[in-house]
Amino acid sequence: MNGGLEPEELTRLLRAAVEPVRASPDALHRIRAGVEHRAWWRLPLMATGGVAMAALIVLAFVAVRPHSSPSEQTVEPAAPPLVSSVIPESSRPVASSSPDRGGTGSGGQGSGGTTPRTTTAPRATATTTPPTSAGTSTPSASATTGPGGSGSLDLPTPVARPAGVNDLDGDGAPDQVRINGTKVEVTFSRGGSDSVDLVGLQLPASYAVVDANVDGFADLLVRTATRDGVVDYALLRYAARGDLAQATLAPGLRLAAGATGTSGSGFRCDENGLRIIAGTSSDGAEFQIVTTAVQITPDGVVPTGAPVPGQLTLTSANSPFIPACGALS
Amino acid sequence: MPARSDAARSAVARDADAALTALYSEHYRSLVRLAALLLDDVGLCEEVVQDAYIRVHGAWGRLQDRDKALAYLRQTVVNLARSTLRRRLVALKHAPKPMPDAASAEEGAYSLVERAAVVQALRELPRRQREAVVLRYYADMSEADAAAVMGCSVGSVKAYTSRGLTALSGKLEGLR
Repeated sequence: MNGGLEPEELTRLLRAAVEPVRASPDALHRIRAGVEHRAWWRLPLMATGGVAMAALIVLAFVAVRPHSSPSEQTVEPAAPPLVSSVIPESSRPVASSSPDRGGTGSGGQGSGGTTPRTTTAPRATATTTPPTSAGTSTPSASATTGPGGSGSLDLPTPVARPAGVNDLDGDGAPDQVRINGTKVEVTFSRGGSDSVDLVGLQLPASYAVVDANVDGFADLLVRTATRDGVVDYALLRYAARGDLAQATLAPGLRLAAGATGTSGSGFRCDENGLRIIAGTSSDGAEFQIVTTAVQITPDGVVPTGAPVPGQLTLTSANSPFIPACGALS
Repeated sequence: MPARSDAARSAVARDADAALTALYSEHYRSLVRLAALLLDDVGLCEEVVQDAYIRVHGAWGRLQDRDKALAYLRQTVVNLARSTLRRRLVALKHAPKPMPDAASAEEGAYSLVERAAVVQALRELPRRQREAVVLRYYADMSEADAAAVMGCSVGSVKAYTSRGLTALSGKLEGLR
């Protein structure tokens, strides 16, 4: 089968063929030199391999690490002031409800808290700022300055200070204000509408649209309740694009007008902003009054300075306990 | 994995050195001859075998069965011979043609002629057949051992061996 070549014969031929092959005398020396050489290079090679592996791990980490887009980085710093207790729903695009955001804070005798409200879009249709995807922070928004600056970065730049008639959104055009039951609804001329439900709103409703803090955005002063001759008011402000929000009063402040004989409350607004007046009397004639200048901010109505004390003999002509801010309907 | 202590490393190194010397004394020459049958260039045999010794020394600490050091050494020689052949094939494609009588200038003795005849016939076989024939009939390995060294099945070794033997018979027919 193999043509006569037997395995034993092949073995003999192969061994005979390689018989002249001899090992060189320095073979073992060469092997040992190779072993030394290999050991010499092993440590640097292992170190290099370790460094290369570490570099690969770092590169892989950098490549896999999630990146935040530049737009997110730009918007994030502006977000916290807007997501406050005053404007908790500024980022909601359409028809949503929110829990009660607290009462009006009228000296601890709030005229009723707000209940879930409805917000409708569209938003961010202003011509003064570029459109945004979610109607939240806008790069061109300005921090409002002036006596009663709102301080919101989400607000567009108003066209005039003080704001024009019924111009809550500061675009120079009047907005539509309606009272629907206990809801105060506003349709903004910039687009979109919003409403705030004032639970316990005294009817018939009485309100005024006035730029109380002279920031270029008119505010809504709404009568909420009357108790013992003192009328409480709520202040609604243009908080963000298409967003109407109730400004909460800082502790100790009461937005009210009237006197009970031994105490009185009032407020006044003019080109210098909004001031809240509180008075006490022992005889109903001589009043110790305290005037507090306030500012309307995303955090609510907060004092801007130390209260100014004073003394006043109360008459019907000079009573400071009146709502001297806008023309209440 | 726990780090190996310096003492343990030194013990392994001493063990490897001793094993290297023992393996060299007993098997170096036979391995060089094995490589001579596997390679086309006898001058490269010693380089291949020395490289195999160096690698076995480096892997001595990872060698689980020290009794199989020779088998591991043989397999390394075969693998290195394959790699060398591949490199030589690539080099020959791009190298200039040698002078026609350069290879036969030193051949004068009878044993060298016989060697040249069987070796030349062996070199004309496909690599797998050549490996199977050399491992089976020169190294006197069993089919199973040859299969382990070649990295194939026993059946493949049988087939390679049979075909190689038949081919060699035809090539060497005229010389006998």
